[in-house]
Amino acid sequence: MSPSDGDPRPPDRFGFDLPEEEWLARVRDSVGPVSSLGRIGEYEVLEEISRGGQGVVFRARQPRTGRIIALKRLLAGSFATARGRQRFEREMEITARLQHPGIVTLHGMEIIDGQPTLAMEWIDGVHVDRWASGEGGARRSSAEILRLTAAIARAVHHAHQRGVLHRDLKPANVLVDGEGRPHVLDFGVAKLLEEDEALTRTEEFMGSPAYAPPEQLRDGARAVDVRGDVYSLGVILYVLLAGRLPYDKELRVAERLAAIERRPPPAASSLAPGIDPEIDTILGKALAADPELRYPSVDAFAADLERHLDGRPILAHPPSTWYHVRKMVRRNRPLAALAGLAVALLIGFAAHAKLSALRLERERNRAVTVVEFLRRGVFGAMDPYRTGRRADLQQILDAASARLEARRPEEGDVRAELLEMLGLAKHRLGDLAGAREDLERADRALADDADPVRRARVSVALASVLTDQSEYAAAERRLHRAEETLRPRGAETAGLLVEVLTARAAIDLTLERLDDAARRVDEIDALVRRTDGEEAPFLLRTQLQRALLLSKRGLHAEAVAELEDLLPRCVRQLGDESAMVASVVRRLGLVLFRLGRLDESGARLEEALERRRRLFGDRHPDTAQVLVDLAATRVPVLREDGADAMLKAAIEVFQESGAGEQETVAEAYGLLAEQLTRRGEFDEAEALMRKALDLLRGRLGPEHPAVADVLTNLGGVHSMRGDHDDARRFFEEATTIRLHALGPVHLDVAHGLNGLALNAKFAGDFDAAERHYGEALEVLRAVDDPSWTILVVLNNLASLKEKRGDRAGARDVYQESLDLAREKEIGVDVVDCATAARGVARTSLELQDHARAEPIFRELVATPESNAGREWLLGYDLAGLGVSLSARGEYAEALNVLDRAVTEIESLGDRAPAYLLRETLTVRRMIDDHLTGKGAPAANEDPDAN
Amino acid sequence: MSPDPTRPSLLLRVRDSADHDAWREFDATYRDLVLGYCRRRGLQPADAEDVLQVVLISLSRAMRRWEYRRERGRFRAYLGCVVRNAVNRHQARGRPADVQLETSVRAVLSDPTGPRADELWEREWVRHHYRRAMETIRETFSERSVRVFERLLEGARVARVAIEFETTETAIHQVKRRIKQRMGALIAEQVAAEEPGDVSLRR
Repeated sequence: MSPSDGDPRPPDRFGFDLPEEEWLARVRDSVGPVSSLGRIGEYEVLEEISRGGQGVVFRARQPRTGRIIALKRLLAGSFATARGRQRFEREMEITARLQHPGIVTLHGMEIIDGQPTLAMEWIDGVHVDRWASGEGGARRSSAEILRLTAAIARAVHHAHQRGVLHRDLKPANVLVDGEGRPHVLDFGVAKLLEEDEALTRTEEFMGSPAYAPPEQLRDGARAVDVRGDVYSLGVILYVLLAGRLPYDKELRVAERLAAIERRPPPAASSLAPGIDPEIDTILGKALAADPELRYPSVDAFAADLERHLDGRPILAHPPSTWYHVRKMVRRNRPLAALAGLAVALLIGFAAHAKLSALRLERERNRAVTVVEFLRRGVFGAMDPYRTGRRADLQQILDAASARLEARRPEEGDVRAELLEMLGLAKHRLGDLAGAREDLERADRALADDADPVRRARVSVALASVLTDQSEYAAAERRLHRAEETLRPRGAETAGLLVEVLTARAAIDLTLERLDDAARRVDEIDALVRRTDGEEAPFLLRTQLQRALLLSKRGLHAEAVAELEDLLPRCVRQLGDESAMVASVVRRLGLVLFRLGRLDESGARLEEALERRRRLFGDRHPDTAQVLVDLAATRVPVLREDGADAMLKAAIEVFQESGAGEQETVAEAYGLLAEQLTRRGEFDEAEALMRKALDLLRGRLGPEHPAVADVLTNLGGVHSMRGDHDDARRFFEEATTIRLHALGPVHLDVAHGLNGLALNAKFAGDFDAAERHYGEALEVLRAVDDPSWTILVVLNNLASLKEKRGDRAGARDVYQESLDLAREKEIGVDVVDCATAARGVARTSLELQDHARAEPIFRELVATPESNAGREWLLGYDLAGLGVSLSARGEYAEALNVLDRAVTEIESLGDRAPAYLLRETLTVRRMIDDHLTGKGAPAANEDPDAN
Repeated sequence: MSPDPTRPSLLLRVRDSADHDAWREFDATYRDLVLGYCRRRGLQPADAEDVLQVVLISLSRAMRRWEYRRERGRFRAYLGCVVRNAVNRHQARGRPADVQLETSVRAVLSDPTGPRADELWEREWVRHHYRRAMETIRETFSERSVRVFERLLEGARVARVAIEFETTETAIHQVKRRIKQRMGALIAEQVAAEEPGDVSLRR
């Protein structure tokens, strides 16, 4: 009897296509009596729950305990023998040891009537796919599904940690209870059945092909490790989100395998609304055909899901080079250069596409080589899943350089390209020495007949590194040659020319050639506007240079205005997390400091530090530079907290990065020396200053104003040590350099004159001192926008007058200083303002003008933060207030205040000057005496005297 | 064997609730399906009989309004729905409060569109057709062939059965194949007959 084509066929669900064994089992089950429900072993069967290829599940009761359980009878044949039984029990004992709220507990296992039977925890729930489709409610949100999947993965991980793989994860094996918690079923069962000799099948696949990883389809269950379960979980997540399987359900095993290996499934986000594309990335990694590219564990998969849910960056990324590049740029800004260049290469390739076929072939090979190198040499090594750890970027690049050296691609051109890429990346990472080496090698690798524009490009990159190393002369030589190459070429290389000019302007600014810098900045602006329009990002950079220019010319307020205008535009055009924004914030901090707006300055610099830390990391010279900036704005105003540590950390970073010769290091030395000087460690201070001096003379030339700064400091040290003649020579040399480099009207000239005056004062030549202070003030009054430097000089002059007994003159100068401070809205919490105020108050006391003294002392007492580390000044100010109160007859309050002063001073012990306690007690006694009819309070000494 | 020409009209005749013969036939055809389903839902035999009566009564009411549409699976789904509801009502009736609560939670999860009851019904429906086909096989195949098939159903290996029946393995395979083929055809006919409109389409 043979079937005819016209024969009706039974519906699929009757299973006529099943393998013989299973089909017979189905008939047997159908034809047999229903009464099989009654009892199975000791268990009282309540109802049938499900029936599948593996066997039947019942809800049953264990009469012994009254416990409701799920009873699973496996369709397997080889467990009747002693060996089979042993294997079953061994396997299931391991499973029974899994104790996790997300894993259905196995209560017992036995072979009943030849059929292996499992007694499991009864979960009143629905299969996870039903749950997701909103069983009895609305469809679950993508977030709910992700959270649940992560919970499932965590449960599976628990089993993995105990050596149990699932190997048949699918929605039917995950129940979700009424509280939305998942419960995973059937651990160990797949393995048990797979190894069942009686069920050995040739062509048929055990389990659920749609959820099985490709390695299992190809090589069987033995080929599967934890990453197989990762794959199955990926399919589950895909199904829950997209509502369909990643590959056609009907595919046969071989077809399915081919489909998986041919291409990834369609993006889930393209199949259902509300799925974040980042989820596609996570799914892509879980569903990678190559287990090597998958998450290394279900735990890692869960962690990435949770990262996504928490809005943190995920670790997954598809293994495509260009995706890598994009992601790297986003995640790892130092690599922007690398990626940018790689993209430029491809664009170059496209641009060449109209060339001859031969040339085209060459270009394509070039691009392929570069991309291959990027993928394997750089991005491949960055994949923490391949290397087992997140390798340090620097190590990766070093390894890439070494590999390149060993491999030596035939084409010098490609080699140069790769070296350039590595050099740029290292530069961004702050490895100046490594960057320079690679770029110099790139330069040499270029053939003699190489495109001059290519050569110029390498030169510009190299010059930029040289500039960061303060090798200005060498940098300028390269830039000059590049400029000559590019200028005649016009529009086609305008972008590169702009870079050359910007680099040159930066050097001009550093070397104080302000007019040259201004001219170049104008030219850059014009060039950029012509080619890229008004919104070109490059214009932001020139605006920053303009602001720096203004600041260098002493026009700090204008510079601040320029920077405050620039900042929001940078954020808008480049994004909040761009290096440019960090630079503008830093510059704002520095200029605000010049204006005496210390708190704002400090806040800006802290912000710049944080931004650069985020962008470049801690061990980057650009980050270290802000540390020096911070110290430089703290040390001079005696807010020294943490300055030493910052400076030392910064110096270390600079030396490590090959930027050890930078003038910023000299600045750091100088600041450290200043601190040492203040502590009286003159020898150490001088040694550091001389180190800085040598460094700066070598880098910037002997006539540079920065050299003068160090000379001024050296003068200060010598002066304090009592070498007044040496000191004078240093101050004079500094002043000469400054007058020459900066002209007579410059803040820094005033600094030098102030030093000269101080030295004269220490030397006892008060006339010379007053003369120098007068000169300094002349300069400062002429400077358009003087900062608080004028306060320092005024205070010094007043103090000198006071010392010479000219109390009225001293008070006038202190008052001028105080008025200026108030005019500039410099608060009394700033040390120079406080010094002026204290001077006015003290001289007023001495001049018997108690009404003038009292409110000032009161204000100082209320502002103890003005004391800048000299905590005894509070006692001093209290004493002053007490004296002025008593002089005005307010004895009760005066006694009160003086008692407080005594307590304050006594609490400091040796840290307070001895005279202060003595004097205060004297005044107090005098008031007592006065109240009983004796004398008047006496004046104090000047605590702010230098 | 051609489909029983009386089948298509069976369901049409059921519509007349006064037609006792029709009811008897309907009862004979679907009784084991309904009872089997009830038992798998955990009902005791007596309770299952109760449910069957309820089902027949509600069917007889509904059938008066029942209009056939030429859509496959309509009757199976309809009958399944009636039976499921009857079982649910039965289970919810006269139970202690906690059991009732459990049942109602389960009812929310599984009914009326619940997967488990649905799936259970579908499976019982498959069994029902196998059973009926097997009955026909027993009536129309030789006793020896039926016995061979039954041995295979019991799990005996082909080689073993060949020895028992003193024949070749090939002959055993042939018997199995013939019965399977016939069973497939029978089931296809039975399913088609369930939906009267479909019969003509399948010819």
